[in-house]
Amino acid sequence: MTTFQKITAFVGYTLLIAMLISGITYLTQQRIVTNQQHALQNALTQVLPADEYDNDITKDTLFITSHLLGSDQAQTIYRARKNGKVVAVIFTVIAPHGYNGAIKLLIGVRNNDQITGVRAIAHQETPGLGDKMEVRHSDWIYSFNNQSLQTLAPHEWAVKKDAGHFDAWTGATITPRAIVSAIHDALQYVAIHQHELFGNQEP
Amino acid sequence: MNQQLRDIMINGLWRQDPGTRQLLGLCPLLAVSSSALNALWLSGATVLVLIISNGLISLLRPYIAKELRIPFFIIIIASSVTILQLLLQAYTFSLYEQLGLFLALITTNCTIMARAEAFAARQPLLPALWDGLMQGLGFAVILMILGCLREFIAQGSLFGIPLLATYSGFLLATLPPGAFMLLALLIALKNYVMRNDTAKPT
Repeated sequence: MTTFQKITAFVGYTLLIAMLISGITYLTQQRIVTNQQHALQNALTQVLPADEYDNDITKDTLFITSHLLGSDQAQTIYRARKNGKVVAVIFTVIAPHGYNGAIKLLIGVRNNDQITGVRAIAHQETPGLGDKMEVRHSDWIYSFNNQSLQTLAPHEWAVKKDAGHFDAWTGATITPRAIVSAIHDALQYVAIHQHELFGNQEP
Repeated sequence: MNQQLRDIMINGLWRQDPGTRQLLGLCPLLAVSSSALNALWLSGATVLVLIISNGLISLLRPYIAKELRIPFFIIIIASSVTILQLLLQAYTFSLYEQLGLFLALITTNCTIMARAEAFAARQPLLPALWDGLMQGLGFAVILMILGCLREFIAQGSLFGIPLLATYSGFLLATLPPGAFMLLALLIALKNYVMRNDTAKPT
């Protein structure tokens, strides 16, 4: 084989393989999107019970960038409506200063500023020590339920070790501190943008 | 079973297993062995990818120019992983979510590249597939031992089921240093058991 033939053959195989992958991508695309939507729906139901709204929440979205949400990338805000009225919003908040990098949280907030629920959806904290925000390890994350800027004064948005309201964990203070402060910021964001988030304009 | 297939089996599972003898694929081995369940899923996925990549390379071996074989292996391995990832995502989504990033890590498992170069590129289809299975299982055994040990030592549980009623936990085992130490102990143990084995590596 000449060099030219070798290279042509190589490029040919590469193209064939690329076509194979494209084919499989094409065949699986629809199922993957459906699966992802299911997973998203499940995650949303965790922070806001499905009987509190009647719209297709995954399609009623806003995209918003704010430093109070912990990231300079646009975050998706899902709006839950009952009879057309926005009753709650769900969005991701990044707690940038975890012990081991950013912690991604999903938070639901009612139109009266009350938290409906919080879940950690991605983190790299130390297993067994800094992962007590996961519901399978501890009930800690439920302590945010129904809290709002009205139920707790600004200085109470801290862990008990810092004279705040929330429990810290044995051996891991940095993680709960980061989460409490991120959620506090998120509530402030909601308070400032009340009209924008809960205004009733259709999507 | 003929001699060659038996040799391949003994090499893959015991004499030249990737984890403790060839010391290949340490990146996924150490990263994913933090719990028994993770280890089990990654084992399965690695075995599959090894069989697919060994098979494809053995089949295509007459048509690949020798100088271009390494990039070609990389393309085959990366494609196998991508296809596996797509299929898992489409048909077993919750499993895919658990495996997450680890799945892509299979590409970095040098065992796969090493078997392609050292074995599949010179052998017909059947021995190549058999070698993929046996080397994959050899890797899986070490991965499972490490995964079970780390989870048990760190949390006193196996596959998430608590086995010890009062166990305060020993965190080091789930952390990277614990992984290195346990692997070192396993390698030392295996070297000791095999101290009289003078057979040449193949």
